[in-house]
Amino acid sequence: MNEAARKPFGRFVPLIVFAALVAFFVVGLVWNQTHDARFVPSPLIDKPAPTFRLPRLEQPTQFVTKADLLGKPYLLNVFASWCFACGDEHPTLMAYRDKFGIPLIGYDYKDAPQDARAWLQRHGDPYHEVITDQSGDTAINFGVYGAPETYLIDAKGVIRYKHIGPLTPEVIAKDLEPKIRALDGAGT
Amino acid sequence: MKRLLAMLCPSPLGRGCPEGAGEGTHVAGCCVDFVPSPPTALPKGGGSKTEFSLVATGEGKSRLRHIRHVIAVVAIAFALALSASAFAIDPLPFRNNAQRDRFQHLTSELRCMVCQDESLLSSNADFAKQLRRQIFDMMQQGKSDKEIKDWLVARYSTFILYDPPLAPSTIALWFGTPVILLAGGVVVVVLLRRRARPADSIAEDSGDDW
Repeated sequence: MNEAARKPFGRFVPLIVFAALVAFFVVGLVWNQTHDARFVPSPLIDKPAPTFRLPRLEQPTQFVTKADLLGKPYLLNVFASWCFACGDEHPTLMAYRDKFGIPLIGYDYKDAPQDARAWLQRHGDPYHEVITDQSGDTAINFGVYGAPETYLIDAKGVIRYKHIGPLTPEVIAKDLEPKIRALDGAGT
Repeated sequence: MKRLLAMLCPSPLGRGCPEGAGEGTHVAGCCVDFVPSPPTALPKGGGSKTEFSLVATGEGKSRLRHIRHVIAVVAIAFALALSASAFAIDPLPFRNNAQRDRFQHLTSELRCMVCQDESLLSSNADFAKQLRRQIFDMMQQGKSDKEIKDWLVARYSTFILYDPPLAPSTIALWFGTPVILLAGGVVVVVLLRRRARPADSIAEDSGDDW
């Protein structure tokens, strides 16, 4: 009496192992298709935003600090004139700037101020205020590693949400707007 | 000759980046800003070996001119390669070799967030240069490797570490391979012992089950 006959199940063990491997690979493939490994979750969510003191784009001698913006929630949108994806995002920002219900503040990242001004003049300015970070040193404290990135900061200066990559109407409807609505006193 | 020069001068943006999309922008596959082709690519293209042998037989002045061109191209290639490596290394004023070694070891363990398959040490991205500078400054302030890593993790999450910490989300990563290896070992041992056992009848055991 041979082994396989004694345990008919044993014959299928290699097949089962093979099927398990295939399942792993398929899950891996699907995961890679649907998730972008570049989008790293920020450890700063629900933590106080870093303090900053950055010049205004329009009046570089005037500075905006984190303390100046406390008291009401706002969106901080990291952009740059050299950033290709920011151009993709731009029409969405133009369309939604008044629908967010909270101020949209531009964060000009590693950019020459004259380039940023020309870019906003050419494409339109969706921002209620633009601050500039030419060195990019403050951006490191925000965990910025590219543009565009968008932060939702509440009235107490806590980062509530971060989106990496261009904002789209889908992202706004699915993620951002619920987060804005969840804030106390948003849109008032 | 043209072919050679074309090989030496890849498109400055490299890897088919859309126009205007440099590194540091959230568009897939746009990392490398400028990498001249390595000088090892040279001998293939121009067939310089045959040209050298022809000159040796004294086949005329045009051949001599040809060889001069080849030498010029080789020189340009080396110059490009040298300038590329000079571009990659920041002129950071280390106190001594030990500090430089520590810096290189530390940055090799950190991920460049823009070019995620490169370390902070090897990446040419603007982002990596800036973080290298920050890490260098922190080292000058006497910060330990752990303090520097914690500082980075607070901003960029543990994703920036190539060596993942032991956490609930990384248990499979840390123990998955040993567990599978152990399971495989158990299977092998069980099978071997079953075969080694004085079977009811060895002749009948065809042994083709596995």
